[in-house]
Amino acid sequence: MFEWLQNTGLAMWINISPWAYPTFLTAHGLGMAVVVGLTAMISLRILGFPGHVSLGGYRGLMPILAGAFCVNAASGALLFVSDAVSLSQNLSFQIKMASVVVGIVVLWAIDRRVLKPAVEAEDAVAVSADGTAALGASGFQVSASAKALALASILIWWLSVIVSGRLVAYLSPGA
Amino acid sequence: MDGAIMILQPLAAWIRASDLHRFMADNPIAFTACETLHFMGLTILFGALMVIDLRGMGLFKRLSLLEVHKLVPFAIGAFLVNLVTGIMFIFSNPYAYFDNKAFGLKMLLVLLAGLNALLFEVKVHRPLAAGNLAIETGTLVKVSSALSLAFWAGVLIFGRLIPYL
Repeated sequence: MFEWLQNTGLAMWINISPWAYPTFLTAHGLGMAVVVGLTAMISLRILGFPGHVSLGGYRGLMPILAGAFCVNAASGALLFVSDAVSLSQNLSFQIKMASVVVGIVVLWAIDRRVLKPAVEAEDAVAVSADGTAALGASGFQVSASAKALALASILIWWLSVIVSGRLVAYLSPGA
Repeated sequence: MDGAIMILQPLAAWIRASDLHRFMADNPIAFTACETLHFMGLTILFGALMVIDLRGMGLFKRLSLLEVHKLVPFAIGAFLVNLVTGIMFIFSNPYAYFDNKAFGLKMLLVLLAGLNALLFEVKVHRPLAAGNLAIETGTLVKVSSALSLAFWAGVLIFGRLIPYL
C-alpha cells in the first residue's frame, strides 16, 4: 500500500516539483508553531502562568488551534505520501504519529473538562452580578488533574516536535 | 548577498578558527540538540505572541490586554534560547548562513519584529498601563499587532527555507 502511495502521480509531483516539498514543509512548520505554541499557552495558564487572567477566555484559542491542526494534517499527509515507504518503517515517525494521537485526546479532555467549565463558571458570575463582576473573577478552581493534563499536554506535543526534528535531521543533512 | 558576505568575511573567518566551530562541526548530536531547543523555543515564542497579538487585533475580548502582556517574559525567554541556539548553528558552518538569501531575509525580519515590539511597548503598553484606556480600541495597537504576527510568520517561513534558497 505504501509503495502504491509513493508511486501515485501526486507523490511523483511532490518529489519532482522544485517548490512543492519546501512549500508543504513550510506550511507544516507554521502549523506546528500554532498548534504547539497555543497548546503550551493554554497549558501554562492552567498551571497558573499568568494568574488573574480569564481562563475561560483561553477557550477562544481552540478554533484557531483546530484550524492549524487541519493544515498540518493535510500538509503532513502530502509530505508523507512523497516518502511513504521509508517513513512508514521509521521508528521516530511512528512515535511521532502516536504522540499526535495522544496529544489530540489530551487537548480534547482539557477543552471539555477544564476550559468549558471555566467559561460556564465565569459566565455565571457575570450574570449574577449584573455584569459588574470582572470576567475571570469566578473563583473557578483548577483541579490537580487539570494541571496534570496541562503538563502532559506540553510534554506530549514537545515529544512530537523533538521526534519530528530528529526525523528531519536523520532524513536530510542539516543546512 | 555578495556585499554582505564581503563585510561578514572577517567574522566568518574568525568563527571558522574558533573552538566552538570545531565542537559544532565535530558533534552532529550538538547540532540536533540545538535544533530541538530551537523548535521548542519557537513554539513558546510564537504561541505567546499569537495570544498577545490576536488580542491586540481585537480577538478574545474576555482576556485583558494588560494581563496577556504578562506573556511577554515567556516570549523574551524563548527568543533568548533561540538566539543562543541560532548562533550555535552559525558557528557550525558560517559561510552556509552568511551566503544564504533566506537567512538574510530572516535576520532582517527579526530586526523589524524587534523594532515593532519596541514600538508596541512604548506607544501601546506603557500608555495603557498608565491608564490611557482609549489606546486599546485605537488603530496603532491593531497595526502593530498585525505587523508582529506577519514579521514572525516570515521569520518562521524563511528559517524553514534556509536549506532550499
